[in-house]
Amino acid sequence: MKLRSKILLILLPLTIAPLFAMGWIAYSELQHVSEEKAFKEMSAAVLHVRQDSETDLTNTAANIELFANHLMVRKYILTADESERYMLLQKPLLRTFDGFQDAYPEYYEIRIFLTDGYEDIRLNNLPIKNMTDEENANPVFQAMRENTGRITQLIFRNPDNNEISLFVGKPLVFRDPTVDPIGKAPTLRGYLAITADLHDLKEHIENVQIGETGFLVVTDSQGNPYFQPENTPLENRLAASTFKAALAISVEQKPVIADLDKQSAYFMGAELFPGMYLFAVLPQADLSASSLRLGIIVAVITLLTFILTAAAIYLALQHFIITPVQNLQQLSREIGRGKLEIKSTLKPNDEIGDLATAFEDMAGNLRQSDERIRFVAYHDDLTGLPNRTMFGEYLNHVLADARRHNKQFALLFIDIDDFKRVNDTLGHHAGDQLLLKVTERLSRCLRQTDYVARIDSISAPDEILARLGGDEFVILVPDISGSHASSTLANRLLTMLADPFSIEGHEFYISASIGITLFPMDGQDAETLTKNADIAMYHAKQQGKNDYQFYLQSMNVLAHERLALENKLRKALTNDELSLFYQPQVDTKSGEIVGLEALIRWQNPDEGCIPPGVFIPVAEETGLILGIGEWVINEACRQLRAWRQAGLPSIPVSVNISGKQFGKQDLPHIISTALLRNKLDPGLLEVEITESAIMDSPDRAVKDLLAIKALGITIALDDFGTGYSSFSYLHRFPIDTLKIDRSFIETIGTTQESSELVAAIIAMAHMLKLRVVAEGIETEEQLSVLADRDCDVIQGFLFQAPVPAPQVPALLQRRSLVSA
Amino acid sequence: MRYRNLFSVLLLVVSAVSQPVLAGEKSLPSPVRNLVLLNWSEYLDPELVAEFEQAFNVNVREIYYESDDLRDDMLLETEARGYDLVLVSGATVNLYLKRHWLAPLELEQMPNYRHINTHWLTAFPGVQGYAVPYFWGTMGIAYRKDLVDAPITSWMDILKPGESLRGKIGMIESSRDLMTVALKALGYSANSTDAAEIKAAGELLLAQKPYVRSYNYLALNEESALVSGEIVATMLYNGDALMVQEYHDSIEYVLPAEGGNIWADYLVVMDSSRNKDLAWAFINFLNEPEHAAQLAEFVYYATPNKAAEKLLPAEFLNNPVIYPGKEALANSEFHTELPPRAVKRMNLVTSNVLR
Repeated sequence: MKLRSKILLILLPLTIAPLFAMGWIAYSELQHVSEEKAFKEMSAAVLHVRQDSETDLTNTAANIELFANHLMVRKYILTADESERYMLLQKPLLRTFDGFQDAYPEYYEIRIFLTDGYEDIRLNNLPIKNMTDEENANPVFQAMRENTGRITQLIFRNPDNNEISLFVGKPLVFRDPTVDPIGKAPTLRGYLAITADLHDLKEHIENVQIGETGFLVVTDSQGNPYFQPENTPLENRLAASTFKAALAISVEQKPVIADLDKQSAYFMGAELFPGMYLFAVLPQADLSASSLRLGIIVAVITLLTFILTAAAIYLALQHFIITPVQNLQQLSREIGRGKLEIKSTLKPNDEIGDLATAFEDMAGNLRQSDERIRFVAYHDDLTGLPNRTMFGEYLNHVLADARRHNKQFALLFIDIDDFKRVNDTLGHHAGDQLLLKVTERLSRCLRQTDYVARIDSISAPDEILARLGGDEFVILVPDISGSHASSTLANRLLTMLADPFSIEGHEFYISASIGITLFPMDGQDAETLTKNADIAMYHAKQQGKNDYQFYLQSMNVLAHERLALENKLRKALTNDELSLFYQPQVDTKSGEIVGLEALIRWQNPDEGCIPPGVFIPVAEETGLILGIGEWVINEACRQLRAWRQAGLPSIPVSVNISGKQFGKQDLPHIISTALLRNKLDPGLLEVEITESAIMDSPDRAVKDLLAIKALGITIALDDFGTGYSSFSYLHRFPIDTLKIDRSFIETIGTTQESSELVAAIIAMAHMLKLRVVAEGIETEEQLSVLADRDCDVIQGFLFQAPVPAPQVPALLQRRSLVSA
Repeated sequence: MRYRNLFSVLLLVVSAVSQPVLAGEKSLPSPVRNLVLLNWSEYLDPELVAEFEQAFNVNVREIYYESDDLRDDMLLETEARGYDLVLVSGATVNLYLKRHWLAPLELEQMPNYRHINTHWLTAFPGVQGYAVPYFWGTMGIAYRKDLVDAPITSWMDILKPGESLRGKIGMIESSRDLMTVALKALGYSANSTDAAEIKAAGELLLAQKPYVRSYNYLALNEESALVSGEIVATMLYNGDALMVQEYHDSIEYVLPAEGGNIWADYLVVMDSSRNKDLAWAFINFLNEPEHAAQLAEFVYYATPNKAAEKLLPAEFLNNPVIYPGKEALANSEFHTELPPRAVKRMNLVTSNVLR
């Protein structure tokens, strides 16, 4: 607003001033021109009439000269005898005069006077009565007579018709050749007179107009008007002073100003004839009126121009400056508010548009700066890894998530051993190079490589590697289920770092010390966790470096044990330390053995018998389960063939499948190959899979199970009731048998509900057309309840504990295991 | 030898050229003389003219005028030079005499002069010894009786005619004659000098103007306006009326009751003429009684030649148009010489009418 006002306040006066100046100049020029024009009109009118009058005078003089020399006129005037003159000569002369009057009708009276003033002959072409023939007393005649030898021209009021007329008279001076001797001088015989009317002049005066109210007037030498237009203000005669003054100036000069009755007027005058004067009169009001008109027009035009200009300026201002500036204002406000993704509506076709573009660029730069700052704030300059700050936030985020969802996670603090050595030896540049390479190797160990940690997109629970500073790194492993993942990772890291580094042509060996803390065991908050991780790391350094240490010693022990076990298990398969035990499944009613469950046993030379509950999870985590699982299937089939060859009754064997095998192995292929190799009927093999194993990856499980089913193999759902399955899922899976988990069996007898629950499970299974097997039967009570509830098959220590293969034949012979 | 050839050629050429010249001189008679006569048209029998020409070996050149005033104009222009014989009205003779235009009559050259009725020699001043009477007559109204409602009897019938005659009246250009008509119509004398009377006559004539078809003298042949009916009534001299009557039966001539003008025409010989002898011979020839009678019958006018009268048929002599009776002539007047101012007045008045 203010800007516009300011600009307008400057511009408008600057435009008004020249406009009005121009207007004024135009007005005065135009007025001057108009005045000039009016005066010219006056002088033109005067000149015109004067010219005509002069011509008139010249012509009448010439004509009278001609007429006077006409033969008839001469004959007439030379005929002294009156009667002769009248009787013989007058008629022809009248005819001659008639001829003159035909040619010049304005010569309304042609006469010849005798020397004494007697009007001897007269011809009128107007019906005028002649007052008298004796014109001796007539002042006109007298004037003519006095003007001896010359043509007389004067203005007079003809008494015969009271009209102002021009009188032209010429003395007729002849020598009579019939009478006078040669030498005699011509004598005056009489006068020829023409009376010419001034009709044309009168009409002209009456009709000519100068300007709006100007006019011409013809006066006598006293200023009395002879001719004037009808409605003129000249009531009385022209004032003598005006008369004189107007005649004094020439037509080229400016007219004089004088009073005309009640108003002021311009006068210009000239003599027309002797005794007749012409005046051009232009009332001043006429000029003022036209001046006024002019003035109004100029004023209006100036005003309009001004208004248009002002409007144009205003609009231009508004459009080109104010609005864009306001736009820019808006823009900068938004930038100020932090909205950096702005786009201006202004086109970059002028300076302000350019400014807007600059603003946009600035915002863009700010945004980039912002991002850069953020990046720099949150990332390590050298390696590009998240820095301490970002890591802290990340840790908080993961912490919150873990708390909410009861997850575990591990922190690994990694310190490069003797990093200073590198720096001192090779310099800081080499040191940086080393750090970069370390970063790269560490990253490779993680599940996610080539990541760019962005604060605003922490969502995926990926492992995060961060540089805390100097030679300290940290890895956050979210969502772990045990400590072994972190110990495995630590081992991997140390292995990675064991290889030599090539720095500036030198080969360098380094190692790291790693400290591991686990949430929630080693701390409930970030501070505690990091402090403990630091302690653990320091511990690792104290232990001799190139090592990892858990915060809890027990963890360390556990980790070591775990590692040992892992190593042993790797060799177990090749060392033939694994074997299958078989536990019979008994028909509840008959007590007959209807099947055998194959259970894996590991006999380690050093550790002795390691229970499957211990080594199976390790096998599953390390991937060894695949080899083991395959071995189990092949071994079971081999055993079945061996028994068949031995002539034993064919009893189906069920083997356990780990969920981890789905998708990683071609189970159907392995099974069918084993069957084929051992020439076994598929009905002899049953596959047991736990409920939870299926639920880990249901889709893959379904696919493989269907394939296995297609081979003709029955499938049993193990540990039913412990997983997170739902009935809809049960429908999907091609299950034949439901094995009730021992936890349910154990509770039988303790409460009524537990029995009912088991009964319900059995009933449901039967409704789904599934065979029900109860695991872990140990008491008679349990047996009786299960028998009551129509459980199909029983399995448990009550009947028989698992036995090694050699003992199976003897078992089969006994057949019935049910006592009473 | 060359020179001889040239000489003979020259001789041949000269004789060839001179032959007709010589022949002319031998066989050519004396050159034919011209006699210039200024006269009214249809006022001279061409047969007589031819006869005269034959007899006298003369070529008569006739120049015509249509009115007295025009004749005066023509004579004034040359001061009467170029004309041998002029036919003038009696009233004009004195004027011409005063102007020294007239040659005195050589009566010895005109023996037939004795046949002329002396009464006419004194009718106008200046006639005696200078002018030979030609014919006399009246001025009246000739009209188509089949084109008017009632017979015309008065000058007023043409001065103030009915609307049916607007533009069908004829008048004569002569100033004196116009005044005569108007003055007589108003009951005044044709020779009035009274200013008021003249003025009144002038007004009457001015008022008549819209009714007048022409002031030019009527044609007297079959193409006459009176024959065609373009003019129904006109001022006309009596003999001319009879002449034009030949071409249409319904043409009548009347000498109005108010009376008119009795005129007499004379032949005069111009003083400047070089053929005066021929002029007198011609006058004498015309006054041979048979010639005069023949002429009278041609022009239908009353001849002043007594001998000729004896030769004219009774029918002619009894024609009241040609020879009006005393009663008819009672109100008519000769034009007398008027005082100059009166003449001037009349001139002025008629010039206004005739413009």
